[in-house]
Amino acid sequence: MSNRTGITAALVVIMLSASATARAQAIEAGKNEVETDFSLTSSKWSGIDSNRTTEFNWRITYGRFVSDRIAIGPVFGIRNDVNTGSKPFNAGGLVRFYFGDGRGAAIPFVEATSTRAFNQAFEMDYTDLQISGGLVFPMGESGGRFRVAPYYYRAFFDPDLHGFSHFHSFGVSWSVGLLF
Amino acid sequence: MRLATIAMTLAALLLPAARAAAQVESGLHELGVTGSFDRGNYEFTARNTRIDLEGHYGFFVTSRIEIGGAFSFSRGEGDVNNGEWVSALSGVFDWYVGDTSSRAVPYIEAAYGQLFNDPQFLEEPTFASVGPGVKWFFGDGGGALNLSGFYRRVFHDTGGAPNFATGRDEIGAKVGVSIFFGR
Repeated sequence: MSNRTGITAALVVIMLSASATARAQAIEAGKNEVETDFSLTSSKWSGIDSNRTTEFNWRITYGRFVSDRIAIGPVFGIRNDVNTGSKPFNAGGLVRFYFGDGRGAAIPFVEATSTRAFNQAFEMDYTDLQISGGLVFPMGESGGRFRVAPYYYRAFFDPDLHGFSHFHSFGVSWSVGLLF
Repeated sequence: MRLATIAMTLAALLLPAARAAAQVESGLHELGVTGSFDRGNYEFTARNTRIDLEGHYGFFVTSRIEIGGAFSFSRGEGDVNNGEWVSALSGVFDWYVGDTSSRAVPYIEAAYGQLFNDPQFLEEPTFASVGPGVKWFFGDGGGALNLSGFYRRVFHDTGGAPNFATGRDEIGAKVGVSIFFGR
Protein backbone atom coordinates (compact mmCIF):
# COMPACT_ATOMS: atom_id res chain seq x y z
CA MET A 1 0.00 0.00 0.00
CA SER A 2 1.44 3.39 -0.97
CA ASN A 3 1.82 6.17 1.59
CA ARG A 4 -0.93 8.21 -0.09
CA THR A 5 -3.36 5.30 -0.11
CA GLY A 6 -2.49 4.51 3.51
CA ILE A 7 -3.12 8.09 4.67
CA THR A 8 -6.43 8.23 2.79
CA ALA A 9 -7.52 4.89 4.27
CA ALA A 10 -6.52 6.02 7.77
CA LEU A 11 -8.54 9.25 7.40
CA VAL A 12 -11.63 7.37 6.21
CA VAL A 13 -11.31 4.89 9.11
CA ILE A 14 -10.93 7.75 11.62
CA MET A 15 -14.00 9.52 10.20
CA LEU A 16 -16.13 6.40 10.15
CA SER A 17 -15.05 5.20 13.59
CA ALA A 18 -15.75 8.66 15.01
CA SER A 19 -19.22 8.67 13.54
CA ALA A 20 -19.78 5.02 14.48
CA THR A 21 -19.63 5.94 18.18
CA ALA A 22 -22.63 8.23 17.72
CA ARG A 23 -25.87 6.60 18.71
CA ALA A 24 -28.03 9.66 19.26
CA GLN A 25 -30.93 10.36 16.93
CA ALA A 26 -29.13 12.38 14.26
CA ILE A 27 -32.31 13.14 12.30
CA GLU A 28 -35.72 13.92 13.76
CA ALA A 29 -38.60 16.33 13.33
CA GLY A 30 -37.62 19.91 14.18
CA LYS A 31 -33.93 19.56 13.33
CA ASN A 32 -32.17 21.56 10.64
CA GLU A 33 -29.65 20.80 7.91
CA VAL A 34 -27.58 23.55 6.29
CA GLU A 35 -24.93 23.65 3.61
CA THR A 36 -23.44 26.97 2.63
CA ASP A 37 -20.42 28.31 0.83
CA PHE A 38 -19.69 32.01 0.34
CA SER A 39 -16.60 33.71 -1.04
CA LEU A 40 -15.85 37.35 -1.82
CA THR A 41 -12.54 38.42 -3.31
CA SER A 42 -11.50 41.89 -4.41
CA SER A 43 -8.13 41.93 -6.17
CA LYS A 44 -5.78 44.37 -7.85
CA TRP A 45 -2.31 44.03 -9.32
CA SER A 46 0.41 46.16 -7.82
CA GLY A 47 3.46 47.26 -9.81
CA ILE A 48 1.49 47.36 -13.09
CA ASP A 49 -1.57 49.21 -14.40
CA SER A 50 -4.75 47.31 -13.61
CA ASN A 51 -8.34 47.67 -12.50
CA ARG A 52 -9.76 46.23 -9.32
CA THR A 53 -11.76 43.05 -9.87
CA THR A 54 -14.38 41.91 -7.40
CA GLU A 55 -15.95 38.47 -7.50
CA PHE A 56 -18.42 36.76 -5.22
CA ASN A 57 -20.22 33.47 -5.11
CA TRP A 58 -22.78 32.26 -2.58
CA ARG A 59 -24.82 29.10 -2.36
CA ILE A 60 -27.00 27.89 0.49
CA THR A 61 -29.34 24.98 0.99
CA TYR A 62 -31.51 24.67 4.08
CA GLY A 63 -33.60 21.70 5.09
CA ARG A 64 -36.10 21.60 7.93
CA PHE A 65 -37.15 18.18 9.20
CA VAL A 66 -40.95 18.25 9.07
CA SER A 67 -40.95 14.63 10.24
CA ASP A 68 -38.29 12.15 11.37
CA ARG A 69 -37.77 11.17 7.74
CA ILE A 70 -38.57 14.17 5.55
CA ALA A 71 -36.76 17.50 5.24
CA ILE A 72 -37.84 20.33 2.97
CA GLY A 73 -36.40 23.79 2.36
CA PRO A 74 -35.10 26.43 -0.02
CA VAL A 75 -32.07 26.44 -2.31
CA PHE A 76 -30.44 29.69 -3.38
CA GLY A 77 -27.27 30.56 -5.27
CA ILE A 78 -25.89 33.81 -6.67
CA ARG A 79 -22.63 35.03 -8.18
CA ASN A 80 -21.38 37.99 -10.13
CA ASP A 81 -20.22 37.64 -13.72
CA VAL A 82 -17.14 39.88 -14.08
CA ASN A 83 -17.39 39.77 -17.88
CA THR A 84 -20.96 41.05 -18.19
CA GLY A 85 -21.43 42.71 -14.81
CA SER A 86 -24.61 40.70 -14.30
CA LYS A 87 -25.55 38.70 -11.23
CA PRO A 88 -26.97 35.32 -12.30
CA PHE A 89 -28.88 33.53 -9.56
CA ASN A 90 -30.85 30.34 -8.93
CA ALA A 91 -33.77 29.97 -6.55
CA GLY A 92 -35.79 26.89 -5.78
CA GLY A 93 -36.42 24.17 -3.28
CA LEU A 94 -35.53 20.67 -2.17
CA VAL A 95 -37.14 17.68 -0.55
CA ARG A 96 -35.14 14.87 1.12
CA PHE A 97 -36.36 11.54 2.34
CA TYR A 98 -34.20 9.62 4.82
CA PHE A 99 -34.63 5.94 5.41
CA GLY A 100 -32.89 3.26 7.42
CA ASP A 101 -31.68 3.73 10.99
CA GLY A 102 -31.75 7.39 12.07
CA ARG A 103 -29.25 6.56 14.82
CA GLY A 104 -26.85 4.82 12.47
CA ALA A 105 -23.36 5.92 11.55
CA ALA A 106 -24.49 6.23 7.92
CA ILE A 107 -28.02 7.27 6.98
CA PRO A 108 -29.24 6.71 3.41
CA PHE A 109 -31.37 9.32 1.66
CA VAL A 110 -32.88 10.34 -1.66
CA GLU A 111 -33.28 13.97 -2.69
CA ALA A 112 -34.96 16.04 -5.39
CA THR A 113 -33.85 19.64 -6.00
CA SER A 114 -35.27 22.04 -8.53
CA THR A 115 -34.40 25.66 -9.22
CA ARG A 116 -35.15 28.41 -11.72
CA ALA A 117 -32.10 30.26 -13.07
CA PHE A 118 -32.42 34.00 -13.68
CA ASN A 119 -30.18 36.70 -15.21
CA GLN A 120 -28.17 34.16 -17.19
CA ALA A 121 -25.79 35.19 -19.99
CA PHE A 122 -27.46 35.56 -23.42
CA GLU A 123 -30.86 35.41 -21.66
CA MET A 124 -30.46 31.65 -21.30
CA ASP A 125 -32.63 31.34 -18.20
CA TYR A 126 -33.58 27.76 -17.46
CA THR A 127 -35.26 25.41 -15.00
CA ASP A 128 -33.30 22.50 -13.59
CA LEU A 129 -33.93 19.31 -11.70
CA GLN A 130 -31.48 17.13 -9.80
CA ILE A 131 -32.22 13.69 -8.40
CA SER A 132 -29.66 12.26 -6.01
CA GLY A 133 -29.34 9.50 -3.48
CA GLY A 134 -26.55 8.70 -1.11
CA LEU A 135 -25.33 8.52 2.45
CA VAL A 136 -25.02 11.04 5.27
CA PHE A 137 -22.44 10.44 8.01
CA PRO A 138 -23.31 12.43 11.19
CA MET A 139 -20.28 13.62 13.17
CA GLY A 140 -20.65 13.27 16.91
CA GLU A 141 -24.18 13.32 18.32
CA SER A 142 -25.04 16.23 16.07
CA GLY A 143 -23.59 19.41 14.67
CA GLY A 144 -21.99 18.26 11.46
CA ARG A 145 -22.20 15.67 8.75
CA PHE A 146 -20.33 14.41 5.71
CA ARG A 147 -22.37 13.49 2.68
CA VAL A 148 -21.65 11.65 -0.55
CA ALA A 149 -24.28 11.30 -3.27
CA PRO A 150 -24.44 10.16 -6.89
CA TYR A 151 -26.82 12.35 -8.92
CA TYR A 152 -28.50 12.95 -12.24
CA TYR A 153 -28.92 16.60 -13.29
CA ARG A 154 -30.98 18.08 -16.12
CA ALA A 155 -31.49 21.71 -17.14
CA PHE A 156 -34.41 22.49 -19.42
CA PHE A 157 -34.08 25.22 -22.07
CA ASP A 158 -36.54 26.68 -24.56
CA PRO A 159 -35.61 25.01 -27.89
CA ASP A 160 -37.30 27.75 -29.93
CA LEU A 161 -35.22 30.40 -28.18
CA HIS A 162 -31.92 28.61 -27.65
CA GLY A 163 -31.79 25.94 -30.35
CA PHE A 164 -31.44 23.09 -27.88
CA SER A 165 -33.69 21.66 -25.24
CA HIS A 166 -31.46 20.52 -22.42
CA PHE A 167 -28.17 20.06 -20.67
CA HIS A 168 -27.78 16.94 -18.63
CA SER A 169 -25.08 15.30 -16.59
CA PHE A 170 -24.49 12.61 -14.06
CA GLY A 171 -21.84 12.27 -11.40
CA VAL A 172 -21.15 12.10 -7.73
CA SER A 173 -20.74 14.94 -5.24
CA TRP A 174 -19.33 15.11 -1.73
CA SER A 175 -19.67 17.85 0.87
CA VAL A 176 -19.90 18.71 4.53
CA GLY A 177 -22.81 20.45 6.25
CA LEU A 178 -24.42 21.33 9.55
CA LEU A 179 -26.97 19.04 11.18
CA PHE A 180 -28.43 20.43 14.40
CA MET B 1 -43.48 41.80 8.00
CA ARG B 2 -41.03 40.04 5.67
CA LEU B 3 -38.10 41.44 7.69
CA ALA B 4 -39.67 40.16 10.89
CA THR B 5 -40.06 36.69 9.38
CA ILE B 6 -36.39 36.63 8.35
CA ALA B 7 -35.32 37.87 11.80
CA MET B 8 -37.42 35.23 13.55
CA THR B 9 -36.01 32.49 11.31
CA LEU B 10 -32.45 33.61 12.06
CA ALA B 11 -33.21 33.75 15.78
CA ALA B 12 -34.70 30.26 15.65
CA LEU B 13 -31.53 29.02 13.96
CA LEU B 14 -29.07 30.75 16.28
CA LEU B 15 -30.76 30.49 19.67
CA PRO B 16 -30.67 26.68 19.96
CA ALA B 17 -27.01 26.83 19.01
CA ALA B 18 -26.28 29.25 21.85
CA ARG B 19 -27.46 26.92 24.61
CA ALA B 20 -24.67 24.36 24.84
CA ALA B 21 -20.90 24.77 25.01
CA ALA B 22 -18.46 23.60 22.37
CA GLN B 23 -14.74 23.22 22.57
CA VAL B 24 -11.66 22.90 20.41
CA GLU B 25 -9.07 20.61 21.96
CA SER B 26 -5.81 18.89 21.16
CA GLY B 27 -6.16 15.73 19.10
CA LEU B 28 -9.23 16.99 17.24
CA HIS B 29 -9.43 16.72 13.44
CA GLU B 30 -11.14 19.32 11.27
CA LEU B 31 -12.28 18.65 7.72
CA GLY B 32 -14.07 20.77 5.15
CA VAL B 33 -14.52 19.35 1.66
CA THR B 34 -16.70 19.89 -1.35
CA GLY B 35 -16.46 18.58 -4.86
CA SER B 36 -17.89 16.49 -7.63
CA PHE B 37 -17.12 14.21 -10.53
CA ASP B 38 -19.43 15.13 -13.38
CA ARG B 39 -20.02 14.00 -16.99
CA GLY B 40 -22.44 16.17 -18.92
CA ASN B 41 -23.37 17.68 -22.25
CA TYR B 42 -25.78 20.01 -23.99
CA GLU B 43 -28.11 18.50 -26.56
CA PHE B 44 -26.21 17.91 -29.85
CA THR B 45 -22.79 18.31 -28.20
CA ALA B 46 -20.16 15.88 -26.99
CA ARG B 47 -20.04 14.81 -23.38
CA ASN B 48 -17.37 16.37 -21.18
CA THR B 49 -15.94 15.23 -17.88
CA ARG B 50 -15.11 17.56 -15.04
CA ILE B 51 -13.59 16.92 -11.64
CA ASP B 52 -13.58 19.47 -8.82
CA LEU B 53 -12.25 18.98 -5.33
CA GLU B 54 -11.46 21.56 -2.72
CA GLY B 55 -11.22 21.68 1.00
CA HIS B 56 -9.03 21.82 4.04
CA TYR B 57 -7.82 19.53 6.77
CA GLY B 58 -6.43 20.52 10.13
CA PHE B 59 -5.17 18.82 13.27
CA PHE B 60 -5.22 20.46 16.70
CA VAL B 61 -1.74 19.97 18.14
CA THR B 62 -2.86 21.90 21.23
CA SER B 63 -6.21 23.36 22.29
CA ARG B 64 -5.17 26.65 20.65
CA ILE B 65 -3.01 25.67 17.67
CA GLU B 66 -4.17 23.88 14.56
CA ILE B 67 -1.94 23.00 11.63
CA GLY B 68 -3.00 21.58 8.31
CA GLY B 69 -3.42 22.26 4.65
CA ALA B 70 -5.86 23.67 2.10
CA PHE B 71 -6.19 22.35 -1.41
CA SER B 72 -8.13 22.72 -4.63
CA PHE B 73 -7.96 20.55 -7.75
CA SER B 74 -9.95 21.07 -10.90
CA ARG B 75 -9.81 19.45 -14.31
CA GLY B 76 -12.20 19.68 -17.23
CA GLU B 77 -12.31 18.82 -20.91
CA GLY B 78 -12.99 21.14 -23.84
CA ASP B 79 -12.80 24.82 -22.95
CA VAL B 80 -12.59 24.17 -19.24
CA ASN B 81 -8.99 24.56 -18.05
CA ASN B 82 -7.81 23.29 -21.48
CA GLY B 83 -7.84 19.77 -20.07
CA GLU B 84 -5.15 20.73 -17.54
CA TRP B 85 -5.15 20.14 -13.83
CA VAL B 86 -5.53 23.54 -12.14
CA SER B 87 -4.66 23.35 -8.50
CA ALA B 88 -3.58 25.19 -5.39
CA LEU B 89 -1.87 23.83 -2.31
CA SER B 90 -1.04 25.62 0.92
CA GLY B 91 0.04 24.99 4.46
CA VAL B 92 -2.17 26.58 7.10
CA PHE B 93 -1.53 27.65 10.69
CA ASP B 94 -4.46 28.65 12.92
CA TRP B 95 -4.12 30.19 16.37
CA TYR B 96 -7.32 30.16 18.46
CA VAL B 97 -7.77 33.05 20.88
CA GLY B 98 -10.27 33.85 23.63
CA ASP B 99 -12.45 31.26 25.34
CA THR B 100 -11.98 27.98 23.45
CA SER B 101 -14.93 26.39 25.26
CA SER B 102 -17.47 28.92 24.04
CA ARG B 103 -19.92 28.51 21.19
CA ALA B 104 -18.04 31.01 18.98
CA VAL B 105 -14.25 30.61 18.95
CA PRO B 106 -12.18 33.32 17.21
CA TYR B 107 -8.90 32.56 15.48
CA ILE B 108 -6.14 34.07 13.38
CA GLU B 109 -4.95 32.22 10.31
CA ALA B 110 -1.75 32.38 8.28
CA ALA B 111 -1.04 30.36 5.15
CA TYR B 112 1.59 29.98 2.45
CA GLY B 113 1.20 28.06 -0.76
CA GLN B 114 1.44 27.83 -4.53
CA LEU B 115 -0.90 27.95 -7.55
CA PHE B 116 -0.39 25.44 -10.36
CA ASN B 117 -1.52 25.89 -14.01
CA ASP B 118 -3.79 28.80 -13.10
CA PRO B 119 -4.73 30.45 -16.44
CA GLN B 120 -4.70 33.89 -14.78
CA PHE B 121 -0.92 33.68 -14.37
CA LEU B 122 1.93 33.00 -16.79
CA GLU B 123 4.01 31.49 -14.00
CA GLU B 124 3.02 29.26 -11.12
CA PRO B 125 3.06 31.87 -8.37
CA THR B 126 3.37 31.44 -4.65
CA PHE B 127 1.10 33.27 -2.23
CA ALA B 128 0.82 34.19 1.42
CA SER B 129 -2.33 35.07 3.34
CA VAL B 130 -3.36 36.19 6.78
CA GLY B 131 -6.69 36.99 8.36
CA PRO B 132 -9.11 36.66 11.27
CA GLY B 133 -12.03 34.30 11.60
CA VAL B 134 -14.54 32.78 13.94
CA LYS B 135 -15.90 29.24 14.15
CA TRP B 136 -19.49 29.02 15.35
CA PHE B 137 -20.15 25.52 16.68
CA PHE B 138 -23.46 23.71 16.34
CA GLY B 139 -24.94 20.80 18.27
CA ASP B 140 -22.31 19.08 20.40
CA GLY B 141 -19.48 20.52 18.34
CA GLY B 142 -19.47 18.05 15.45
CA GLY B 143 -19.86 20.90 12.98
CA ALA B 144 -19.17 24.61 12.76
CA LEU B 145 -19.88 27.54 10.52
CA ASN B 146 -16.54 29.07 9.58
CA LEU B 147 -16.57 32.84 8.89
CA SER B 148 -13.30 34.47 7.94
CA GLY B 149 -11.67 37.43 6.26
CA PHE B 150 -8.30 37.45 4.55
CA TYR B 151 -5.59 39.47 2.90
CA ARG B 152 -3.68 37.46 0.28
CA ARG B 153 -0.61 38.45 -1.67
CA VAL B 154 0.10 36.51 -4.86
CA PHE B 155 3.77 37.00 -5.71
CA HIS B 156 4.70 37.58 -9.32
CA ASP B 157 7.75 35.37 -8.97
CA THR B 158 10.72 35.73 -11.27
CA GLY B 159 12.59 32.81 -9.78
CA GLY B 160 14.22 32.59 -6.40
CA ALA B 161 12.73 34.54 -3.53
CA PRO B 162 9.16 35.95 -3.70
CA ASN B 163 8.90 39.24 -5.61
CA PHE B 164 7.40 41.84 -3.26
CA ALA B 165 7.38 44.66 -5.86
CA THR B 166 4.93 43.13 -8.32
CA GLY B 167 2.04 40.88 -7.50
CA ARG B 168 -1.65 40.77 -6.84
CA ASP B 169 -3.23 41.95 -3.60
CA GLU B 170 -6.50 40.35 -2.62
CA ILE B 171 -8.89 41.01 0.22
CA GLY B 172 -12.02 39.04 0.84
CA ALA B 173 -14.28 37.01 3.03
CA LYS B 174 -15.38 33.39 3.16
CA VAL B 175 -18.10 31.41 4.83
CA GLY B 176 -18.02 27.63 4.87
CA VAL B 177 -18.74 24.60 6.98
CA SER B 178 -16.27 22.35 8.80
CA ILE B 179 -16.85 19.04 10.53
CA PHE B 180 -14.90 17.90 13.60
CA PHE B 181 -14.09 14.37 14.73
CA GLY B 182 -11.70 12.40 16.89
CA ARG B 183 -12.91 13.62 20.30
